[in-house]
Amino acid sequence: MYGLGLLKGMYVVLRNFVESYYKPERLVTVQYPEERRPLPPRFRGFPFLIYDDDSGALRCVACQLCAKACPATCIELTMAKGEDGKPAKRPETYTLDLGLCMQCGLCVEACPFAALAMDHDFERAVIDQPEPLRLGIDQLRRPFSYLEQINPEAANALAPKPAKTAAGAEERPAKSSHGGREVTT
Amino acid sequence: MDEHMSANAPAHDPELLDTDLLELSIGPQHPSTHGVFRMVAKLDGENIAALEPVFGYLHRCHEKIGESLTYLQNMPMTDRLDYICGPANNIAYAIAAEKLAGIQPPERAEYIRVIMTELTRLVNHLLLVGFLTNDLGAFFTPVLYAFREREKILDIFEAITGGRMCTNYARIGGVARDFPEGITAEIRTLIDAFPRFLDEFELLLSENEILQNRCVGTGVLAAAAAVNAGISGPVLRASGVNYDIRKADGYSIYPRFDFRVPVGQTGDTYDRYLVRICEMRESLKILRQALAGLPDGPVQAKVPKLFKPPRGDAYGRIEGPKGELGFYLVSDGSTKPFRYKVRPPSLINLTLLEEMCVGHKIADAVIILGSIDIVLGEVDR
Repeated sequence: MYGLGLLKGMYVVLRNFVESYYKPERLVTVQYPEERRPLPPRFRGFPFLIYDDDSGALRCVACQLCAKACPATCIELTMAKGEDGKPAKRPETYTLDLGLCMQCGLCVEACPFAALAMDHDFERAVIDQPEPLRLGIDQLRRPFSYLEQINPEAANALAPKPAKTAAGAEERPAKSSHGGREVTT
Repeated sequence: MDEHMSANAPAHDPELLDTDLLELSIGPQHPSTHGVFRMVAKLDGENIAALEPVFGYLHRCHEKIGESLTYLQNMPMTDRLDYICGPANNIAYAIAAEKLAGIQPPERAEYIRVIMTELTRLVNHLLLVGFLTNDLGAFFTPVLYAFREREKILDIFEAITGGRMCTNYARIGGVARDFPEGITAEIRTLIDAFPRFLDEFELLLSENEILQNRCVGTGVLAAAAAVNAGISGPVLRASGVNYDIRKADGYSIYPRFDFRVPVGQTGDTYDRYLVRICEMRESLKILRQALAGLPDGPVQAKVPKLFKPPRGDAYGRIEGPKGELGFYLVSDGSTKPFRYKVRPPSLINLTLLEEMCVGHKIADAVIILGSIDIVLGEVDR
């Protein structure tokens, strides 16, 4: 019968419409700003710098590996100089350009000191732009406990490190500079 | 018609009347062209006499940029080619780079790649069928049903990779991360529920008289012409050519799976629609087998952090959701590719657009374009 296919289609539409009022599998939308779906732990937002809760010291040793791994060159950092004028193993400036970052996560994979992780913050819209889209250390630092909260899987993988980092960061300069050289060649 | 004209203009000889074809530019900013694509159509009344595809509006030097990045750094860039099928692009690129360096990814990584590719195929075909009906004038009802299912797959992508569309998941010699806990159960639930959705979708569309009237016999692509032009993927198979790289090449671990290749008969728009629906059912079959056979083990082969393939070149290809997706890499022994070339299925499938459209009405050109399945990110690169 001509038109039967149309009627069948109408039946599907009608069933979807009616069931969307009571069947959970048809009720798929949420009222976004008020109601939020949980983000999966691996969600990739912008990267942030991890500091240890106890000491408050950044884990970053300014080895430049993240800056070199970034395809968009959105990370810029400089190493701080100690009081004696020798390079200290910590960043003096660390800038992340939000306009360039494409949240690929290669910097996190490149970091040998587990000093970086991907944030869960995706609501970056503002009404007016108060400052350039370049974040410095102050805006990028987050405690390790924050990572444990948003991504337990990544935190577990990095967990043995915090005990070591305080000592490890001091001990490992030779290794880190070796790593830096390896990438530049 | 002639009488009417001569009555109005008795002084003119009807044969001397200016009867030029009307040249109409559709796009680049037109919703039916699926992006910034332009069709310059020469119209004889409503019929298309000639049609010239114009593209390049989204060109962003993808290949040249690829030559200035290291092999790994280019991985997130491939997400942006065919932005609907991120994981498939990643995997095709990784296969090319592995061929170049002679690396064999571990077993579990191969299975994960197959699962990701087939899920991507589901996403792509869902979107294609949805938007094809949109082009037909079924305003957004089928699209939203397709989107509802697609979101579930994207949620799985997000849980596995951290990104919904730009997944950046494959790595040279494996995949970035192992599956998180419990994701195989989620995928299983999804593919168990999927046939029911497909049945409902087919009930909505396949027998619909409007869809059939518009699609059957529209945009017929002859098998010989399709083979000559290098058309691949579902468009080629709808024309009746049984050519699927998963079967022809047997790359990765596809020979282990039992699936069939749906082939059309006439090569019209309706066949292209049906081939996609059937392919989704075959993908579900592969997914079921891959999940059942998913072994334990590492997901990343031993690859030096500083990936320096030996001098030489390699062409890696997969059966992408849109057709043969190939990457050609030339290495000069350094960390960056010397030459990097993408073989995008969308672009090559687009070359026969004129042949398919000539003689049809202008409204049919829209659905023919929709049934070819182009993504401008991949056409222009």
